Amino acid sequence: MAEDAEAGFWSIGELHRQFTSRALSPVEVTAIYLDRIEATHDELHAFLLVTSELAFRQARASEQRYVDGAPLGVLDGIPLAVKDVYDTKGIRTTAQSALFADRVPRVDAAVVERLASHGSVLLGKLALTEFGAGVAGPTDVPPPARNPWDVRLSPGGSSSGPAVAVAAGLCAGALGTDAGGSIREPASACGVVGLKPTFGLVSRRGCIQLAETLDHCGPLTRSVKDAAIVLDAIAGFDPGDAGSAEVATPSVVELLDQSPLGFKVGVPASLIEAAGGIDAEVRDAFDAALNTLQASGAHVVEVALPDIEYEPAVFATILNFEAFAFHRSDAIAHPELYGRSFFKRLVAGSMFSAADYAQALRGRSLVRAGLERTMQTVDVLALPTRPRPAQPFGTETGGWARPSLRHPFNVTGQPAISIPCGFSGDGLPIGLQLVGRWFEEPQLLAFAHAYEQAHDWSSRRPG
Amino acid sequence: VKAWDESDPFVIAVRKHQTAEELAEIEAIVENVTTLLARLEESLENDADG
Repeated sequence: MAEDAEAGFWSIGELHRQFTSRALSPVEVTAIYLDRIEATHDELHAFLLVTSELAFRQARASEQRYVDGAPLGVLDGIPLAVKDVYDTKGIRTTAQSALFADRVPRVDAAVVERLASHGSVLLGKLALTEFGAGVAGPTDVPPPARNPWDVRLSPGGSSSGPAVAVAAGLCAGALGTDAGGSIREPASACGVVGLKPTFGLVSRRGCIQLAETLDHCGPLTRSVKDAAIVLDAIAGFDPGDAGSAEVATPSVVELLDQSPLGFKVGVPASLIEAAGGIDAEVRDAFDAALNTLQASGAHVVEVALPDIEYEPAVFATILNFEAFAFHRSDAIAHPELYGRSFFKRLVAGSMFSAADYAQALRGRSLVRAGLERTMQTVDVLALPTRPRPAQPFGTETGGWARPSLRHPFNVTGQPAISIPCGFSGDGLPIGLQLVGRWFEEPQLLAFAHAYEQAHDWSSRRPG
Repeated sequence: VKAWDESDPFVIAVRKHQTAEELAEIEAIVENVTTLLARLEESLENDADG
């Protein structure tokens, strides 16, 4: 069991090496993860649905490819799991909503297809907050995922299940979604890596949407390198997603070892100040991270984000208006099937006029233009991912109309990654957020990887 | 904040499932947002005027 626990935390690269050398097989590793999922379920509730039969079928097929000396790549046989907003053919996909309790898609989401084409194994569907925007409560049905560092605390959201499963060694990596920080925020609270790629880089086809122009799909993993491996597999143009971009997608993994020497890091001090309430331990961990970056050869400078004061209104209008547009007919037919927290968002969305929405789009262009000017002067932005470490359930209200450390980069569509950068006195993880230029994931992840190499934060485990 | 049409089926659903207190809370947030949007509009118009 001790060895099984170790295997639960192996990197994707290490698992691939084990498979290639035939020291361990995809079937054995799949069994280890499924045992770990079962053993922790009553405490963590990371999974809404475990797809054991499919997982073993995929693992056996992968094992045969390794026996034949023809694996499909580094992801072949790697057990992954996806947030329960990704459609899975013939497998219930609910968005953790009573409305979709019996919804069974007929086709896989684009990224589920892509992962399968690389030979990965699907362990199951992961918990979230309702439709990716509700607020979890400890008495919810089904029960919310719990933070493995302290099960009394919230893991953050909305990609709670992916962050918990990765942190607790229940899968080798996971996919989340992020319309307003939903990958980065739980990644920070659970001490894992969470990447929101540039808008348009990863297809959202077959993903239950929250907000059409803010939603992003991306990985949560235990290291930046693992995030790069998953990103390489899922990135690429898809005509089936209206937001998909036809851009070159160079391998991020191959460019991961670029030196950060000479990188210019911008600290948006006024945004951090406006977000308010930064915990002293988070501030200390962030300052220490900046010192590490400087020591590794980066230049750290303070930067202004022009017109950022309009961002909270822009974000709140776009998100709620778009969510309402998607849900209006279901909300009329079955209002009782929505949770109160999410329904409030729909009500808010219904209160905005088309002119408000158009004004918000103008504001978005203004905010993006300001960020474009700022990003001409620095390579990355650095800021805390969240103001505080994990908090008790019920104290995180979402704050959708207030200055945020994460929302601005959904509005602009820039790539942003959260990586562990320390721990509080209570042993809770703290996250550092790095934000790059549009479609410059290779540079952003190389920089994050260099920071990660300077510390052992990512190697610590809960429990 | 947009005036509600009480015959709109969504508004009817809201009246059934949302308390007056919850509605007032949402309305206050939306009002703050639309105030900021109005300020944004003013700023954009000023910029356009040179």
